[in-house]
Amino acid sequence: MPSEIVRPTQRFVPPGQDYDAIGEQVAQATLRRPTMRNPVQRRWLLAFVASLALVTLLIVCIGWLFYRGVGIWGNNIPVTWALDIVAYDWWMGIATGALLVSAVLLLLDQTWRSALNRIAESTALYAAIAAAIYPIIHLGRPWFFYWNLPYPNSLWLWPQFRSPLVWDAMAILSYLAITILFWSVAMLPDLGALRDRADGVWRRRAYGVAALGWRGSAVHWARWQQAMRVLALLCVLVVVSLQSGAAVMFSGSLEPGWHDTLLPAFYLIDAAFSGVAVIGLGVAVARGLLPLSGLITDEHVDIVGRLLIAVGLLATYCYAADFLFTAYGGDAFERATAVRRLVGPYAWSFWLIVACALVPIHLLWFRRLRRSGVVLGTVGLLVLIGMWCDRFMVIVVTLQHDFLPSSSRAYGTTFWAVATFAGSIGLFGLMWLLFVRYLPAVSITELRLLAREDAEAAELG
Amino acid sequence: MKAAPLDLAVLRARLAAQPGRPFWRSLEEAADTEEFRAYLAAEFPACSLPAPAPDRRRFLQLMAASLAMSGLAACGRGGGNSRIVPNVRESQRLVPGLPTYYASAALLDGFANGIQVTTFDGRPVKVEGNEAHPWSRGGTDVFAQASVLQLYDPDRSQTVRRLGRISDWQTFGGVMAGHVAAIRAEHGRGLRLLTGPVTSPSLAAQIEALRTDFPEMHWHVLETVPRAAVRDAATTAFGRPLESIPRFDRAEVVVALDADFLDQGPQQVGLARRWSDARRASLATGRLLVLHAAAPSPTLTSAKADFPVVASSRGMAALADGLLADIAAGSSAAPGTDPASQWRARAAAALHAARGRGIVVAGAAQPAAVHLAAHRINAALGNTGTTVLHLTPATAPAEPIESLVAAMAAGAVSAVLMFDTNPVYTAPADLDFSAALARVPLKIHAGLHVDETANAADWHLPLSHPLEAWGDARAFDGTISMQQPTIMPLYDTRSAGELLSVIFEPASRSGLAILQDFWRGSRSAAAFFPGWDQSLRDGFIPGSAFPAETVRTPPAAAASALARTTGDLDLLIRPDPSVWDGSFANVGWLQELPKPLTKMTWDNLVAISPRTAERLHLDNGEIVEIVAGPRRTQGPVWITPGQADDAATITLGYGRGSAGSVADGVGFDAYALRTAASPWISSGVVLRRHGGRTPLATTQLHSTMEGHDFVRIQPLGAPPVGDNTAFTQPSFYPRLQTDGRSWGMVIDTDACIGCNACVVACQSENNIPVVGREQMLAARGMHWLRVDRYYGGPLDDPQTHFMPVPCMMCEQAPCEVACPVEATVHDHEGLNLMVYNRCVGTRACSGYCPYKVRRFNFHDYSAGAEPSLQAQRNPDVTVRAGGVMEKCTYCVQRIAAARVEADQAGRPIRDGEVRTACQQACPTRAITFGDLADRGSAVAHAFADPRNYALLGELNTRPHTTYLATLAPAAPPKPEG
Repeated sequence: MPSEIVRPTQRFVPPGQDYDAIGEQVAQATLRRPTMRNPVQRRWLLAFVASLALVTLLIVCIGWLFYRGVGIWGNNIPVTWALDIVAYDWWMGIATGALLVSAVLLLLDQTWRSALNRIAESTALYAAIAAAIYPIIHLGRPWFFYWNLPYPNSLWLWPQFRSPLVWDAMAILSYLAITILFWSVAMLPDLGALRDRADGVWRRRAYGVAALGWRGSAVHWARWQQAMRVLALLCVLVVVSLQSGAAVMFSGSLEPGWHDTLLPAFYLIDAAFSGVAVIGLGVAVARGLLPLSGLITDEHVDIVGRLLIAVGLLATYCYAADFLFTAYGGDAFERATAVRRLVGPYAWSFWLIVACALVPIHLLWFRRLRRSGVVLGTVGLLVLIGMWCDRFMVIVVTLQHDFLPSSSRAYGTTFWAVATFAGSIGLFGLMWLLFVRYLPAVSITELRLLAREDAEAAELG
Repeated sequence: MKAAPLDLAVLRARLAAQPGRPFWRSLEEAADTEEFRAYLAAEFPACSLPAPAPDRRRFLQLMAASLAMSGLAACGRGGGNSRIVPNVRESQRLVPGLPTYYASAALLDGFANGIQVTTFDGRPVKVEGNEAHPWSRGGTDVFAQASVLQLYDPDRSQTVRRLGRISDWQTFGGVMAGHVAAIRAEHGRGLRLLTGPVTSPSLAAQIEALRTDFPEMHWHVLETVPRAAVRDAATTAFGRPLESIPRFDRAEVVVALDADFLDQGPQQVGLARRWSDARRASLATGRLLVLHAAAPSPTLTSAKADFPVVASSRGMAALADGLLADIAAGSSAAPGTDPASQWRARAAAALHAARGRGIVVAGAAQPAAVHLAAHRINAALGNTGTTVLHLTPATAPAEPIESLVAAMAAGAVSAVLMFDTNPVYTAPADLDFSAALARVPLKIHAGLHVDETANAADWHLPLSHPLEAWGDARAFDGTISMQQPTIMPLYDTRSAGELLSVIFEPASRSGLAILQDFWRGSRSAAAFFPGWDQSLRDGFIPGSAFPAETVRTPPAAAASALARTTGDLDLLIRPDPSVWDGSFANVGWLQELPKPLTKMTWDNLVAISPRTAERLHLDNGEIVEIVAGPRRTQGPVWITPGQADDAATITLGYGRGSAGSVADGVGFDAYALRTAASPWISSGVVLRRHGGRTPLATTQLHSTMEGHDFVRIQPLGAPPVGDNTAFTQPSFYPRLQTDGRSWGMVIDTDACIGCNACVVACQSENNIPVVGREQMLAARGMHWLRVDRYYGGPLDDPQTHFMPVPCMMCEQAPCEVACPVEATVHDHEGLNLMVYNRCVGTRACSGYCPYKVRRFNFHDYSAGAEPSLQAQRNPDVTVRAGGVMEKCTYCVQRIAAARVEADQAGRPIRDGEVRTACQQACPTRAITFGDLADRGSAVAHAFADPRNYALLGELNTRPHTTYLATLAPAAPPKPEG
């Protein structure tokens, strides 16, 4: 392989990391009991308590929502979709982006991904779960959510298949299924390794059941690799269809700012942007929160930074193209919406995109900054904020003033809408923290493989 | 007491037969004659004798019987004034589930509009216009539409109250008998009657009869919306009080001096119809009936003017006199450069050019001087008697309230009976009515609510709602309208006529008897009843309108410009377009009704012009203190285009203290600034920033069309501005198959006067909930039909346009694409349907709707309504649950009912058979509805009109609701510069 990046080198496996060391580190992170004495574990505990509090808040919010109706949020006529769909689209952007990056790298045989892929895939899964509560709870009558799905029923009533919402509902279910498979199948060899190292009968049994009888035979390995590739391909497909489908939820309407053929591509790129950003953030957090800094190296940080610049530039191009096409397009309503994005009552959302997502990535052109986990994590967080603002801008700016000025009304949020969103972050955080606590946060197998390749390369060299 | 000779033998026998030891105070008492009992009841009501005590056996019999009877009584409806007949065999007229219609009359300030009340199983649920009524011709106003909710208002007064404590009619009758005897002895001296305006011939006759009985009684009327200036001007001009009625059909030019013929009020329904009919007819002849309007505060009349001008409130009289001078001189002096004098020159020239075919009309809010000038101009141009007719006022003449207050304050009033009026709240503040009232020993109030006056009275009596009482009333032109009950009184209430009968007549008569006695006179039953039945069926007495009076030429007089104190601002006080004078304040539909021009709900405002706002550095919603001499109050500012710079306008009817759970605490009380001498205007008023602001629940924040042509203007003689491009665009999708019918609606924006009758009619017909101020602030109003108001032209002198927006029933409906569960689908008659029980509430349809006509139940708004309010609901329309989307259905329940009827008869649905609620209510017939596929239908004709166009037609939604462009005179609407 000619490229510097794809060639496995010692950059991705720090010196002194052999099979045992890798296994020991990951297993230690997983199997040790958390105490307040250990600073790393204290941080974990604090984060866990905070997340648990937010999840409690989420439960209260949803209970109140089911009792009082969606009126507890600030949504109105015309802004029928607001923080609910903004949060949904944002979480799905994160989820699909992270999955896309992991799957594409696997398909391209980028073995250096091994330290990152578990974080990426887990993020993809948990973000999707955090997102998946919204399509249900945002309904006026959430107890009928299943009417969105084609299920056999005695009335012969099917969903309305022209609606992008139906396809979105099916896409997110397919997405969840494929992501769970991809994530759990990838973990099988590691679960086997944990089973072998775990103390106590019950732990061994739990990991043993989860490992599905993984014994590490040559046939197992061959089948496993095949399965991973097939699943990775499915992941790429479902991500593309889900994000373009989410975009069609908007572009399928006639609304100015939504009715646009660029939107599916735009959504996919924005998703990749949030995906890389969240991986950057996850890498920084994992390095801070877990004793794994030995396995996630500065080289990893560097390469995520480069990816972030690349997708960030693509996203920048999309914003520019969108404004250019609108300006050339000559449709007065589209133009008015574009102008409102820039200077309207919610212009802060556009300028936050610029300030948080499009500008900070250019810090990463500098090698020193790029190789700093803290800088990458900060930029990743900023990009995520920017991408949230993008969803807000697309949805709220169009809805609050579309065609008839008479219908234009302002949107203001409420405590419950914000609390629900905070709760969804708590849910994501809780799942993530439990994951790093009880499951192998980086892939033991793949890192070992990388280490072996390194060793073999060294012998040959 | 005339002593009857005593039969001593019988007396002796009776005393001997009495059980126990007999005690007796006089021979008369012991004789227990009828005369003695009557005397005792009249003189000492409190100690009138009970019946002789029954013996034990009799007592037990009575107890047993009354127990049995009370059980029986519980089976029937109480408070009835006629026999209850059990429904053993079903009435042939009443089919369960099918509506029954009653012609009746809706009252506003005592004036009638003809209505037809839809009742289901004995419950009135909807008020429609009475098409045959010669005055209102099928139109209604918002108040008539909302009266059905007022009937069911749970806050209505339900019992007699004595000093605030629950009492009953028997006690009241007993107590009154003594009082009446005393008053009778003094020939009525000290007795005063205070009412609202009375047009009812039977009630007026009852009061007249009272005057005969009590020659020294006085009758006062409190007009909250006074027409005194109209009567005074007519008295000066013609020697007697007369009302003016314009004949638009004979006119070419109308000059309106702050006129109100299209505005809310008793004249609105009839005059607006005559106006729009004449305008349509004039279009056919190619000579548009042109309206020039000058107003210091924008009104619906000035909003519909082809040539509106914002006139200074102080300059109205001068403007009228100037116009008169122009007419008299035969030509106008060189016009100045200011808009008002240019307007005057244009109006004068137009009036000149159309001698005898012009109308100059002034509004009730203008002083007599302006009315007088209008009379003189009309006389000078030969309009009087041709285009302007003069009629006897429909209201019975009575004394004003000032003399009552003076008499009360002087202690000359011993008893005051007030009904259909709420003077403690509505009397001009400078009279200090409450203080004067406190000096009256006996204060009786009858009303729909336990209102401010009820709280100050000794007795409060619950009055029947017009929909549950017999009565009659005159329309604005004098047409006698019959009012018949559509339901048994919900509570133990009496109508005004019954009330007078209870108090003053020896044997009280029922409302029906009073009405029949009056109308029958001395006729025989055979001669009377056929015509009586017919008038009840029709709802009016044909040919009962007043004939036009021949009037003299008004005497010439010197210019009458009013001398005014100069001050900061004039304060104009106007009735509120939604709650009128406050009598409709507790009706949720009206509180939540966006006012025609400000689109404000749940508040009244201090309207000031943009320039005044700049000068005083005030912004929308800022609280100002209005200081008018010694009186002051506070209210939120609203910057109103079309408002004169020297005037602020406030509306009546808010700031109620005791109106009910809906109205209490809403807005501020404008009566607090009113004076008896000048009820419409106060000069030298100062606005002071009070600090703080209040959020205002307006439904429309953006008033310009942003460069688009949502409302199109069709100048006369110009190429048509309408087009059918909305229906000729290519599409990937096949056109929808229909079964031959294609429902459509065409709305004439030229005829729409923005009066909101359609909005309330829609709310009433379709069980649309009231969501309250908080939800309106959150932009969650539920009105299926809204009237958009757009301004054009300069900020200080705008053109106003109204555009009612129901569902467009798009053939290519974006909402149908959006819905994932097929809760909104197209039927085969061109309707875009909502399937409420399938809706899961994704709200995607609303997001996709370019017209934003969909409404969402963010909370369960319909839940928890009072049982009495639930009785109002239309049984043919689903009451929507929380979390469900809803929208205009073209009143699909009416289409379904017509289809059933047509199918049973084996014929197609006839054109005009289905009338939507909005269409039916519209006083100007701006809405045409029917089958677009039927080439002969009225709606197809309207659709083919060259003025017809689709709203946002370029989106290729192929809407079935289209619009007719607003007409404009051939000349450019504004002179250059």
